[in-house]
Amino acid sequence: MILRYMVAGLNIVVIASILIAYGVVTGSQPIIGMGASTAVIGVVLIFTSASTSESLLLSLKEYSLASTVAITSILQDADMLGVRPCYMRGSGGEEYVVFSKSAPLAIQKPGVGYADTPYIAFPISSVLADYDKLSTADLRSALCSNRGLCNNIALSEEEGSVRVVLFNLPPEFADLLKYPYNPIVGYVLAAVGRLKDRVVCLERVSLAGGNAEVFLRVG
Amino acid sequence: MSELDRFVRLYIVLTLVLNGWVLFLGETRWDVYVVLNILSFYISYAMNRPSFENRRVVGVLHGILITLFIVLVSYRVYEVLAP
Repeated sequence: MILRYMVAGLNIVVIASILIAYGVVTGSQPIIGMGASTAVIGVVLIFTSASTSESLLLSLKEYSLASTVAITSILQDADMLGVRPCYMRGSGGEEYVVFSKSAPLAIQKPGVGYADTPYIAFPISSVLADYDKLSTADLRSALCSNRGLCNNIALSEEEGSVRVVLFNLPPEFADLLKYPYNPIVGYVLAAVGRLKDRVVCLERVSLAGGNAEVFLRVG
Repeated sequence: MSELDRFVRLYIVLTLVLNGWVLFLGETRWDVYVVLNILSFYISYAMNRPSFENRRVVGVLHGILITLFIVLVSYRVYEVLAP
């Protein structure tokens, strides 16, 4: 659904209704005609918004799904399907989401590697690249306003655990949550990892009523 | 600009121009404005051919507009033939 057309259509229908009511009260046929014509514009916009979605979103969804499925297959082959991803910095300061059965000593490069333990590292320095330093106040604008991952965001902390709630997750991303590494996990790990500037690991993700709850462990 | 944006903009501009012109001419029948609006829709649609994902919703819209057009025009034709 294209939200801007839906909002415009609803507003136009409201204004047209007022125009028609005014025309009926004053007995002016031209005003009734203009009001009815305006109402038709509003209805067309509402139907148009409901019958299509942003074309870029469709292509991103397809690409995300293809990438996510490929990554899941790699994790499966490496016997790391049940391993929880962690945000950590490499030896050169780069940021990664790392899958490993135990904490690797130092990540030298992305991809499949070995640092006292096998790991698979996906670089995420390009994620939220416009934020060198992230504060809690930045989270809403970074993830919701600028990137459209949510309508609102809530962050709560308790004894080394962080709970992030993303309200009104777009359905396109909700479908990807069943995969171990998906855009939501990547963004939340990058955001909280950069916020805390420590190793942050995903504990679990749950989806309830269109809201995603992400539980993280800071360590 | 996507084809959908072009379609919407052309449709609105065409409707405003046609309705404004008819209002300027002093037309007092309200259904003329609606009929011209529907014609503007189909002219814009034919010129831009926007693609829609949900064809069922678009089909309903077409049904509503064509039905409305037929009813309004038929009423005026009936008025002419059987005053």
